[in-house]
Amino acid sequence: MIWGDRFDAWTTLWLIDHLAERISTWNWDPMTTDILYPLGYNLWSFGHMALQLIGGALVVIGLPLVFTYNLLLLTGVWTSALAAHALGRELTGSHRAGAVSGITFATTPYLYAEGGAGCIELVAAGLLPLYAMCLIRLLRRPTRTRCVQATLALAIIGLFNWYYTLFAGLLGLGIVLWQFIEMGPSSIRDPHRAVHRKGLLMAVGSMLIAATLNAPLIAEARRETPTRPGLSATLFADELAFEEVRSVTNGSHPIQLLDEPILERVDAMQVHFNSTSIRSLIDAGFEVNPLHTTPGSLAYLMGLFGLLAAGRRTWGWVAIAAGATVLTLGPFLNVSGALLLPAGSSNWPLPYYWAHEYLPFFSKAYRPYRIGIIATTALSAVGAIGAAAWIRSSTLPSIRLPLLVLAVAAFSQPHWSGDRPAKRPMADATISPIYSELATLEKGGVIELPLQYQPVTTANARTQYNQIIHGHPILNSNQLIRRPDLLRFREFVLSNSALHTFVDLSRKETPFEVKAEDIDALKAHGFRWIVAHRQVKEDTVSLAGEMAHADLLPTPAWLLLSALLGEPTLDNQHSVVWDLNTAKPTQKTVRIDGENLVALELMFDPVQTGFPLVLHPGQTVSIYQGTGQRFTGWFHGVLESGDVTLRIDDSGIVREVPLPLTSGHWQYVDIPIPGDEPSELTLVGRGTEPIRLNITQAMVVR
Amino acid sequence: MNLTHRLLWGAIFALAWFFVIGPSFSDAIVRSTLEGPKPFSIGDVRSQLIQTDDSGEPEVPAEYEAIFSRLAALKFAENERVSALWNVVDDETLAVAEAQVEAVPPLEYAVDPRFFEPMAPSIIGRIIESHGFAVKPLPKTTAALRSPEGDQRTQLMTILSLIHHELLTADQAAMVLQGALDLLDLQTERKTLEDTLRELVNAEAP
Repeated sequence: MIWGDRFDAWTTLWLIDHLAERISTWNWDPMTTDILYPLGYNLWSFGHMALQLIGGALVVIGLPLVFTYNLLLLTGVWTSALAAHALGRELTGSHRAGAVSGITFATTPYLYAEGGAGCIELVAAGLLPLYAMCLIRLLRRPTRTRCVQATLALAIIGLFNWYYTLFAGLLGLGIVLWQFIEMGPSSIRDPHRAVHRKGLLMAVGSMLIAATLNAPLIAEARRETPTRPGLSATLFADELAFEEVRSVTNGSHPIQLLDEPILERVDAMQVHFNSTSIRSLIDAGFEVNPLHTTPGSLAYLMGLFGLLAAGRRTWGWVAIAAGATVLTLGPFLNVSGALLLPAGSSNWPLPYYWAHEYLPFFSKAYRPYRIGIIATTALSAVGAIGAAAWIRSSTLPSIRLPLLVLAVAAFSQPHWSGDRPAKRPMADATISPIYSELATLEKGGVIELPLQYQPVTTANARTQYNQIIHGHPILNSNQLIRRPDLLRFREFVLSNSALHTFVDLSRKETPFEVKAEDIDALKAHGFRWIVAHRQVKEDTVSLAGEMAHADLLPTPAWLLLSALLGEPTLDNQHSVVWDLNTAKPTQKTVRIDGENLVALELMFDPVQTGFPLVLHPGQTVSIYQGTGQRFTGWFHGVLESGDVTLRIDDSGIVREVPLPLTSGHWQYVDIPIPGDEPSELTLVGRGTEPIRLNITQAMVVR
Repeated sequence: MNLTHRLLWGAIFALAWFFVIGPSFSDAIVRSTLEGPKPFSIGDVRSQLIQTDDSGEPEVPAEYEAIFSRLAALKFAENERVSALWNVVDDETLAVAEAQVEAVPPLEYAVDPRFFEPMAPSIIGRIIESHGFAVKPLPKTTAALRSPEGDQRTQLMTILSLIHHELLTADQAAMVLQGALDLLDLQTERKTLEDTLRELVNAEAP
């Protein structure tokens, strides 16, 4: 089990395992064809590998993969707390004041939301307060050793996370600027300010050296974030552009229509989607969606406390916190958090807009909400300074009890604040048995169906994770969220009618047409195995809204696969695997036009209506009257108790077929209808308890 | 002002912010978001069409007139279904439900682009959840067919209250479900027609 279930979690698990394999085979080629086969993928494009590399090393020495993932996640929170504690201690000389800083930093909603999303490298945010501490130490007593420490602390962040490199740089510049202003430009030559001057010079020098050390990696960093498109004032308020971008991010935009301008609009829109709204700042609670997170109520409360308790001593940190908070608002003010900005909002660009457009490398921070971690660092420091003022006060009681109350309140927040992330169920990291069976088959590339170009559902995002068990290279990849890779993928799949048809096969309209020669072309590329599923675990995560359909292959898709690939090599009822080497397409061009299918369009579809079908024992719902050979559809059973049957009334001959449902899963049902006479199909509630269902893609094959 | 006083004032401000000011700001933002655009009005479209007609003749083109008359018929049919739903239970039970409307949980389908309005789909969803899927024809009624828009909302909220407070028998629930499904069908047709009308008007706009 892991805590965190969005696509990043499964990608991270894959990356840790992949790096463990690289360590054990001492293979440091940045390219891999284990995903995005046969095109290959450059591992630098992940933009963060040091933490995963540590995980890989732990796996190599024998720790289980899932345990390692959870350990890294927890360690990320612990080290964040320790680093912020160290910053507070450095600022105040007090461990108790340091504890205020550690508690404030380690309990920000941001860390829990990123952890829940599976971005463990973002949870390991302790490098920021650690760097701030090194810089403060250097400014206070500038020595060569401290300069080296500050330089290394900044330089090493790049390996862990490029966002945080930029953020640390911004934080460092903020601190240096504040110190410069505090010293006063007029006293820059004052001999009494020699230490200050030396400190500032060494701080700037250390930043330049760190930047130089990271310079060779900048080209690699650009892989993760290709050149960012400019921010358009009208784009974020354009409903048509919004619809287009949404269809790309949920993978339903026809792949042949994707091009560079569309994908640039998608990238530009991400800046707006990832900006903090005024409402989020006011609520400042714990959120499941990281995009809605802020430093949190407690951090701002500690900032207020520190400001009131220590006054002028906190102003520099308060200014940094305020500046970073304004930057989190993104390029244009969004009051409500609406996905589409009101037209007038774009008339008043915020500071982020100017920084994004004109500051070199700033566009790397294309997720403005994440800048909140700078604000959190500064607010934690303010809290520590305020706590030190309390400790020094002769009129206030001991800080021990308030500190204890703060710790209990802060660390219990995930249990009661906002979306209460602590109540979130753990995600089952068990891999379906079909992949163990697939691992035993001969070598060959794998294509999992439906092939999606965006990780729109959990089941789809897990295809990359499944690769660690079967070990075959896969065409599927979660990494197509990046423009250049997606365009390469597009060119590849459009060159083959089978691959083109397989993309978003679950939501694609008939007719389907695949040339038999393209199956041979797939074999020539080294593909061997095609995997499809008749049972899919329900998706409560909603990666891109309600996307249940994206996983579920409809009847025409099964007819196509059967005509194209024949009998499957593996079939465990829940999943099937076909061997391309034994595929014998029935015609030169296999075409499924869907004319013999009757779509029943039942109203119990989670995407179309969201209405469930609840059947008490004995209740019925008539779904079809007419002729047909088979009844097919995807069913989702919610309750453990209760049963449902399909009653087939064939001119007075009535029989009931139980639907083989598994609670919490979508199940493809395919039931033959006997006889040639018109029949009536009815769903009947059976058992002793009501049953709750969702149904989609229900069809009758004539 | 000494440290203690400053912290005291800070605590008062924080309490006021977290329990009064912050929540009221947040609620105000949510409310303004839910208001949405100005409701569609056939009257507005009619007057717009007449204004944009340069011929000086006040007549509306035939394609529009057909849509207007169908929309009017749909509105009439919707009023009938709402009145029929309202008459499923006796006045005494309605009064009980009306008195408890405040206790009805928020609507699931608020601001849902799939639906014309949130009431009918919420009634359908909740009645299926509470009574299972069972339908029974809801007889037509001639009572109060021209109830104003605000009254209809109150009436449908009262129906939701009947469901939420379990004041319906199985037979009544089956009729309410059928009535709500009929209403949803009519609304869906109206939504489609209004979208068509909007597109026509936008296409003709200068």
